[in-house]
Amino acid sequence: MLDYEIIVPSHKRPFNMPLLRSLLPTATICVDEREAAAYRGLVPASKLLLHPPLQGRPAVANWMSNATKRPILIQLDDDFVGVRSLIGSKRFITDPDEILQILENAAQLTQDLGLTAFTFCRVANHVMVDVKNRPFIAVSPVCAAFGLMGKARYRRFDTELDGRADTDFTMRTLLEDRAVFVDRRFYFDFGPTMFGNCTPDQYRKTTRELRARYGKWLKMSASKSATKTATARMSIAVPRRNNGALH
Amino acid sequence: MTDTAAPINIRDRVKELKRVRAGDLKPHPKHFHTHSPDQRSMMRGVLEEIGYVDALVGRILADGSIECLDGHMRREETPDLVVPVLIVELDDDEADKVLATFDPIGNLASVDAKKQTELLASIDATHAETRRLLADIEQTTLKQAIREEGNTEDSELDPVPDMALRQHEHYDFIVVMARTTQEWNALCDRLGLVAPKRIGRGKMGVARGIPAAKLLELLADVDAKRLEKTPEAAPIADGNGGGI
Repeated sequence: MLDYEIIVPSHKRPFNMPLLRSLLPTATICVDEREAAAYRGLVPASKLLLHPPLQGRPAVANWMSNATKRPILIQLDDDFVGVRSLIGSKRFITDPDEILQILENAAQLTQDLGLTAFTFCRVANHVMVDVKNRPFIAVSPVCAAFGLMGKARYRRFDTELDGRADTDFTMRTLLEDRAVFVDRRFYFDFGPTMFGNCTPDQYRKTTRELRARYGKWLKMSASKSATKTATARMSIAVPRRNNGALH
Repeated sequence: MTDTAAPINIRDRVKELKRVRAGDLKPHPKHFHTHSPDQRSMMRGVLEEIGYVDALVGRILADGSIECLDGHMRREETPDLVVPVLIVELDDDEADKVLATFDPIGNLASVDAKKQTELLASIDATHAETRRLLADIEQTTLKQAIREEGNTEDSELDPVPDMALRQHEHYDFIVVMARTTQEWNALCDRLGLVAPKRIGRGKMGVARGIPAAKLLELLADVDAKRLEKTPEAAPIADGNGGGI
């Protein structure tokens, strides 16, 4: 049977806790020890994990990996608002039992299939009628809502790649473990969000670094608006064939 | 007898440098460039940060007005500013040729990406639009370099060749859906899978997976067992009621 822990890192967002805890009542909330007072009262002590002062999300993610002992670690961002089912009637799922079952199913399938990481659909309005839009694929960024096990469980995020550590982690997973289990039937909704925020300087630095590491397997596709708002945009171009179509 | 090229006579068509109110310049009627809000914003940023470092180009028409040949966007963006204008002496046909070739010739230049990157990295721009322009330039050069180098076998662009698909590597699946609890339990039993516990009222179905290699092994076992149980072939009749 599955032996896992759900952990949600949070920073300066105690106001998200009532909703988050209604959706994921079994999750552990991990916060900077200096913010503990803001979270107590909203999160039971048994579900509150305090980390020392750390710089950047990758450092927090690595600390959590070390601090938790279960062989499967499931992580979600703290602005989680619900799951959009992208099949059938396209429901918006906020029942905690259903959400937990979705997570457990993904973890179970990943474990059964000998893979090491799972994640979900990255697009809220993904249309699953095109022949190329399969419910399960093998390549997607491991971020926002994901699970790690096996070799990926103790793989570390690169703390030098602020804003792009997720991309680097995904690439290393694809290189070493070949595929990610992606369940595109469900979209974990985190509300309006901008992923990969970083300053223009960091953007330039991490772009160069990731290009040097992965070359043609990453597409640099920043638009003018991206540079204006300093939102890093990069897409993974690793082929993992699935019914003849490249993903 | 060797063929030597005739010396080229390059004329200097620039007559003077005038300083003129930008809005007083007439746009050339055949000017074909369009300028997006983004480009205009970046131009304003650079002008605000650095100022004018290049002259517009114009020619004096018969009525004494100055027709703009190069610098239309700057003319539009700073109409009230007194700007430097190089006055050239060109007829209509020559003016058309300049209009057609001036910018495109500049655009034909290729970029030494390394030198450009070094230059961009050394610049500390204060204006937000200038920073945006510089980031755009770098990104364009990066993309162009990737595009060009993609046609070569430069290993620098494929530092992880093992990322490529291996021979016969493929990811496909067959979905087996159990419509009844009995089917589900039977499948789990036959495939050697422990049925996961359902969470809550079980509104969301449960899932198990099995790698193809393991399933093929199970099927091979089934085939082997079936062959073991196959009865021996019945004796062939000899036509006299007895067997051979």
